[in-house]
Amino acid sequence: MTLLKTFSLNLLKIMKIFNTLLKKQFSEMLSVFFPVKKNTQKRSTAQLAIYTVLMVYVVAVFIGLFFIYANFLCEPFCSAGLAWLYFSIMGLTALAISLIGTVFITYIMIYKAGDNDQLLSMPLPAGYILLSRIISVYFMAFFMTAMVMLPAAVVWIISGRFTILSVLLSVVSIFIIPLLSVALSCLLAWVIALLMSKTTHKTLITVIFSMLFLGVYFIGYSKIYEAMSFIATNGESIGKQLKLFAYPFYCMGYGTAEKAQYYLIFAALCILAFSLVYLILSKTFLSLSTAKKGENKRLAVKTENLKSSGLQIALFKKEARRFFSSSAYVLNGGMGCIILLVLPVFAAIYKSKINEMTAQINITLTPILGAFVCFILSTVIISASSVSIEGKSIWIIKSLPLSAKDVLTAKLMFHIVAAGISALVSCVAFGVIFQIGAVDIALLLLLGFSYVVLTAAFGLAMNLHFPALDWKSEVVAVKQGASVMISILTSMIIAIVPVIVYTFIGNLLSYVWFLLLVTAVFAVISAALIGYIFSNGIRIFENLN
Amino acid sequence: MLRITDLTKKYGDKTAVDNLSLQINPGEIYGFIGHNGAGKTTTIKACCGILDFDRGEILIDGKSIKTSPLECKSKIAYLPDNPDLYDFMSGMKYLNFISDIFSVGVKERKELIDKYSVMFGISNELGQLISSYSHGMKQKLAIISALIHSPRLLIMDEPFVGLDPKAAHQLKEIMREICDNGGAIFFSTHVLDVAERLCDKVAIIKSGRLIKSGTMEEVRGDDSLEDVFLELVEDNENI
Repeated sequence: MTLLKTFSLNLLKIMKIFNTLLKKQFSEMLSVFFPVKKNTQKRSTAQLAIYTVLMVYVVAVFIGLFFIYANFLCEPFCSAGLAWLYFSIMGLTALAISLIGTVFITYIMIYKAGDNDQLLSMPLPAGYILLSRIISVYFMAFFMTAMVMLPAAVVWIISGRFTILSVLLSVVSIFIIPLLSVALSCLLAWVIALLMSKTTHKTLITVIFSMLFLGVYFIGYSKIYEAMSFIATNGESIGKQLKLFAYPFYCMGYGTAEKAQYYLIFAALCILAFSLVYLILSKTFLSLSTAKKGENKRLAVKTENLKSSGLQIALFKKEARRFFSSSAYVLNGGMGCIILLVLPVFAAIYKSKINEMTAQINITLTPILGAFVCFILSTVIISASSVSIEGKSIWIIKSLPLSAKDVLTAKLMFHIVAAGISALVSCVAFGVIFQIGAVDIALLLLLGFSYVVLTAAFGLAMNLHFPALDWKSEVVAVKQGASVMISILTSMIIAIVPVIVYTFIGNLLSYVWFLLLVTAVFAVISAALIGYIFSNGIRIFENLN
Repeated sequence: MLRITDLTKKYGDKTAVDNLSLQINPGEIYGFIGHNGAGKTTTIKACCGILDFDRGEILIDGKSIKTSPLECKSKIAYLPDNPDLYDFMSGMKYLNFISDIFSVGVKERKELIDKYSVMFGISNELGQLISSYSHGMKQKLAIISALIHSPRLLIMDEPFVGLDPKAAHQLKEIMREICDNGGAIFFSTHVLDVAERLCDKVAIIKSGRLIKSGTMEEVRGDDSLEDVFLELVEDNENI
């Protein structure tokens, strides 16, 4: 009885500590989306409304996409008696999506959190701190898994072949699959942290890992449609492969659609993977999270090599250094730049196929290329976190004899130059590869450049309105901020709207005039936004603290 | 050099600084003391143009920080209580960046960086990323960056926190040198012994209000600064 009492008291104590840690994690995440005005402790209702609308929009778009995807797979598999494969493929998709969504930030969230030292100095077991961090990663993975598995369950119900247990298990997957994706993300984060602790080339390691992941991402992305058709037509052979190489997902699918006891194997394997990874990480968490930051090697530098720069150049260089010093910033803010530089290579490889396709549907390639370049450019959101990334060091630029206009110009210019160079290279490369002619290349360049200026100005304006300066991990500033989300979604809409308009008025207006018209509209909006930044934006920046 | 007139700063309903007036003349080291949350940092930030204020005027060399912020900022250097510097830069790149902003000539910046980095014992660390620096090293780097453009007015918030005894001594020497050359220093501190030995004038602030100011002799009289401070703060609480 006494033993039981001690146990329950200890459990209660653990739960209390853990609850506090989790509250801290989530309030930090929440504070980015709903910043509290200093000294008022009130969150703006307008902000709350904007976020709610945005979140609903994002979730609706993703759920819609995965509903189409699930619908595409469900019928062929079920007709072939391979309903289990439908669940296996959807489960693997959920794993891939949640992995992509968490892998880039897990290392920073676990090992680079600004309050690690503070928490580790408190009478808290390191394992609790680690678990609270892992749970916040789990929360993100859970959210992404739900966006895949919920539509999968709905499509399954609509198909009419469902049993209550199969629906229930597909919902349970929303809780189980994130365990596996978090285990994989954490394992990669652990490997990176381990390498970081043993090398002086930290930035290089991060870049290599990121590029490797990006490479896999690109290959996967380029093969997605091929893969979908292959999956739909070769279910049986895939099933055999899946059973051999992805046994847990065979169990997941077979367990959901056929025999529930197989699902238990899947769940047990996921829990086992999560527990093992947690054990590995907890053994080394203290040493890896307190490993000396930055380069350990003493680098002798001499003032003889110093060179002076003008004010604007110095500010521009500072923005560039900030950007390139952070893998999180590069991968979240500048992914589109990298994609634009790589895509012409793929275009050259698939040139004949693309030419065949455009000839079949009888459309001119130039406007499609323009829309495509703009769409990729919409993922470049460097300026959307350029104010937030200043964080607590914002006092430096505010105390220096710099006008807010100079500071904001440098932020704007860095985005324009980084995205502009990528746009220039890709437009010219696409033009040469598809032989669209000098005039069309010029049109693409004009369109691309005007769109770059527009997105740069919009991102900066948003970040001035929704700055997040009190972050402990830079991921919060570059990935989770409201300005980032608003910018990327609005930029995508701006890139898509001309495509929709062109489908209606394409036969009334030649594509040359249409592209010139869109460029002009982009230029006018850009001018208005820049005007806004240099008037209201300056005032907002001057009041930032 | 620095004239603060009727400075008032409110955060919502709370008045952080209330009708504060001070004057710091060339050649003076002016200490600013008060308990935690008294309004020292708010006043200092307002003087540096980092924080807007609701009422009053701050003049630096006769120019208003509100209407001519760039002119004012080019004459001052600010050292915050917590040196959150650019972690992504090396110490040398940071100093070069600050020099670029203040348009310090290449020859002059080289001389000053060499001089101060040796003086503060961080010359071998300047090639490293600031993220690898200890708090004290960051503080030393922030001090060098504040000195690199030879400011006329040095405004510092708790400048001795985190400094080793040698660096603290060097900083005091530099402060005196700046004042001997016609500059001025305005700094906050909780270390009353340092303030007593170093300052020509001192101001005591409580709950945003100036409760006493003047030369060290005027404020202290025959007592120690610590006794006077404690007495004034207690008296004020009783009122």
